[in-house]
Order: sequence, then C-alpha cells, then structure tokens
Amino acid sequence: MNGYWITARMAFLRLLRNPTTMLVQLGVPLILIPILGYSFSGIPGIDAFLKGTSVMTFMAMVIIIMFQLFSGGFMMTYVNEAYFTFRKWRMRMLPCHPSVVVFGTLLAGLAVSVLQGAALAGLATLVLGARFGSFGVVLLVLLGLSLFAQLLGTLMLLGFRSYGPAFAMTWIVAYGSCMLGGMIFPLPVDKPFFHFLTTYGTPASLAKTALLDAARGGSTSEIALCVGVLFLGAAVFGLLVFLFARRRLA
Amino acid sequence: MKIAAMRDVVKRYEGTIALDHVDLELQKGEILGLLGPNGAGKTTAIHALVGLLPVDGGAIELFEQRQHTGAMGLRRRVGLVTQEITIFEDLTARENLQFFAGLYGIKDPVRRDRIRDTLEFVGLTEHADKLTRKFSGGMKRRLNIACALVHKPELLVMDEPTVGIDPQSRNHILSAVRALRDAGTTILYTTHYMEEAQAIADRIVIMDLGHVIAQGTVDELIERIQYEERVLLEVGDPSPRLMEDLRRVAGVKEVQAQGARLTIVSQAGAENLNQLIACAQSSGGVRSIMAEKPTLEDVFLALTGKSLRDGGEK
Repeated sequence: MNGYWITARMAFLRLLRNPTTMLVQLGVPLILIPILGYSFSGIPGIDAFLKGTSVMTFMAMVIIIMFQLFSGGFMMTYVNEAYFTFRKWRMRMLPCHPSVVVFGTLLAGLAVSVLQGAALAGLATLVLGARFGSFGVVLLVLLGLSLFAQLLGTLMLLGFRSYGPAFAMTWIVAYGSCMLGGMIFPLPVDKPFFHFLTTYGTPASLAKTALLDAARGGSTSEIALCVGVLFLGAAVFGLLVFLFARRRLA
Repeated sequence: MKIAAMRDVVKRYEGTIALDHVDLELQKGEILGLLGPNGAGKTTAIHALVGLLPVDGGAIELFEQRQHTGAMGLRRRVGLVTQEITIFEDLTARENLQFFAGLYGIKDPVRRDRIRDTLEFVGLTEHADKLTRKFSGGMKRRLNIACALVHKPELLVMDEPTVGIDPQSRNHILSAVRALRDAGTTILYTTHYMEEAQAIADRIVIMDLGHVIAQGTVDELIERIQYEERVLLEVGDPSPRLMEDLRRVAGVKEVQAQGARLTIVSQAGAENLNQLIACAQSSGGVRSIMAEKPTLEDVFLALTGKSLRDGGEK
C-alpha cells in the first residue's frame, strides 16, 4: 500500500506545482465561463431551451464537464515519462510492479482534477451567481467524470504505448462525448434517438443530465441513475486498464 | 567473492547484434570500469546484467542466483544510476529521495535517516528542500546518484554518470564512487571517458561493437600493448653528433628532432634512461625531460585501430 500512497502523494505535489495544469484546468475555464455565459444570455429563446436554468449556470456546467473530460492528459504525461520514455529504465528497476506507480499517479490526477472542478463550481457560484442545487451531486459528477477521464487516458496510453496517438484518441473520445451530448452544437432532441443520446448516451450527457436535474430540483432517482451509469462505465474502463496494465507493463 | 557474472551472453536487436558472446565477472567490493565508445554495447550489457532486458543466449548470475527479467527480489540489492537524469524537477531533493525510498519499501524512521545520510553523502544537505528544477547540472547528476543509493544497494551500476557536467561536480562524483567502494559497495561503472576509468577502476573491461575486447587492471592492459617507450628531451644543443650518440644507446629504435626537442623511441624494458640523460648532458645539457606512458586511449587504439574519443568511428 505504501507504494501507491507515496506515488499518489508525489504526483499530487507535482500536479499542484505544475503551472500548466493550473492554467489549463483552472485559469482557462474561469475565463471561458463568464465570456460564454454573457455572450449566450442575449440569444432569443435560450431561457425556454434551458427550462429555468440560468445561462451562466448552464455554461458553468458545460465548461466544467468538458474540462473534467480532458483532465486525463497530465496523468498520461507522467505515466508516459515513467514507463515509455526517458525514465523507463530507472522506474523499471524499482522492486514494484509498474501498475503501483500507474494507479498511484491516477489517484493523484483524480484528486487534483476533482479539486479543480470543485473550485470552479464554487467560484462560479460565488462570483457569477451560478446555481448548482446540490454541491454533493456536483462532487459525485466530478468524481465520476474525472475517474472516467483518467482511466480513458491510461487505457489509451497502455493500448498505443505512444503518447501522440494515445492523446489524440483520448481527445477524440472526450470531444465526441461532449459533441454527442449536445454540448458543442444543438442536436435535434425532438427525435428520440438524439434525445436519448443527449440525456444518457455519453459520459458528458450523463453528467449534464445529473447536474441539470440537481439544479432544477429534479428526481433523485434520475440523478442516481445518471451518476450510477457514469461510475459503472468508469468501472468497466478500470477493469480494462487493470487487464492492460498487467499485460503491457509486465 | 563473485557478485555478478555474464557467461557467453548474446543479445540481438532486429538485425543487429548488441552483445556478442560477452563474458565478464564482478568481484565483491571492486569498481569495474566498463569502457567503450558510444554504441559499444555497454548500456545493453548493464541492462541485461540487472535484469531489465532479456537475453537471447548465455547465462547471467547476480548474487549467486540466475538473473531473469522478473527477478524483483534481486532489484532491492541493486542501484541503477541511469545515463539520463531521471529526477523529478517539480519535487525537492528530499521529496525525490522520499519517493524512491518509499518504492523500495523503506519506512520511517529508517527512511528519514537514510535520506539525511544520502543527501549528506552527495553534498546536497543545504539544498534538500529546494525544487530541483533550480539545481545546476552537476547537482542534478548528484541527486540522480543519490536516488539510486538511498536503499543502500550492495551493487551500484552507474551508466555514464558524469556526462555533461563541470569538473568540480565530476571530481565530487568520482570521490563519492571511491568512498562507496571503500565502504564495501561493489560498483559497475560505464564510461567512454578513459581518464575516469583509469582514475577509479580496479579492473577494466573494454567493449567495442558488442564484444569484450580486453579486460584486466590498467597496468595489465597497458602491458599488453607496451612494445615501445618514449622519452621526450629538450636539450641545449641538438647537434647531429648528439643524435648519432643517442641512436647508439642500447635499445634505442628511433630519434626524432624538432628544434631543441628530441623524441627518443626505445624498445619496451630497455631501461636506458640514465644513458640517454648522460649523452644529452655532454651536449649542452638537459633543459627538460618527460617519459610518456601509454594510456587506455593507446590500448583502445592498439586493440581496435580506432580512437575512443571520436566515438569509435573508423
């Protein structure tokens, strides 16, 4: 257990001290939320489309979801350096299985991105007047999304064993998830297929549905269903990562 | 006592042979210098020895056990200083050591003591809590070594540990390596700097193109190629008569003059230095004298026909 914790602790410190992590995961979304919120607030019919949720709240949700889905990149960089590039002989010389370091790093990535997401939600509430309803649901959604993102990044890196293609594939999946979730441009949600896709069809849709329901005081069972499916998906990815890690890092 | 051995080891990479029937042995408490130009197979040899690379033929023994890539237990007894600097630049020196010590399973309070001692050993105590991205190249190299030492390995494998650093840090590292040997650690030290190998190694193995081409102490290796000796004399009057007198001294093969400087080549073991000086004193006196001894560079040149310094290119 010591190996996991020492890796997680050091990777956590490294992420917090990394100015790029802070800028990309905290600075950029902090700028984007008010810009997009104020820009979209004047569009006719937007209030009816959002069914009572404020534009600023909706934009904060969308931006937080998107940046959580892209949060696996930093963890991928650390694992790539450790086992596929210049540190590989040093790290492989350690008397522990590489999966200890990979999962320790993943834990740190998870913690940092959840903290960053929570800070964003907090700041959006305090400064921009966003209303999330339940902060507990926000934390659960952040945890599920970040877990999904970290595991997706790990899976791609172990699958491709090369950072470039792995990062590109992770980006495609994350971007595709947001796009099919109706968060990049509007989809014809009056058609059942697209309605399902934008409500439950992707990790981004599930997160959005859970957050919107919580903000509107919607049904707890619907929120639990979305969060549950999100964690179930992450668990499936976790199993795949476990299997890949045993084979690819042996 | 034998710590490690490679017997007839062969390692191939697609189409090329990196280790070609390599044999070497490492005795407890010695510094074995593995010398060769870039691409000689030194790094492949040490990676195979410590179990990081599978081999295609031959046998490797480490601490009297058969080595293989899955032998995790043996890794606790070995420290590897890689050619690349592998410290984490966004952590302090202390945190770097905490990380590596932690992954070797060392717990507090032993870990705290080990980290303190290791920082002191590499001369970084005063910089323990500074972020290493602010360190100089030499300090980073020293911390790189410290990370491989913190678990007190019985065998320390150092792969070109002084590449690209200032002379002061290099001297510090070489002194530290000697101190480790004196404290009982066995060291395998790879380098392409022959001065380093000559300065610290108890025995030297010379590799080129995946082959071990010679091994022994520095003196033994030099003896293998020492078929002549050179004496450089600067005289007051380099007259033709003096040249003739010098050529008549027993053992002298050749005398070359360049102004007042004379190069006298004799057969190995001629022991004619006193006669050469006596000759020169009778012709205007001797201003300076220097006897040139062959170096490992000459050994490498004699054995391979190419220079070590130029990276082994023919």
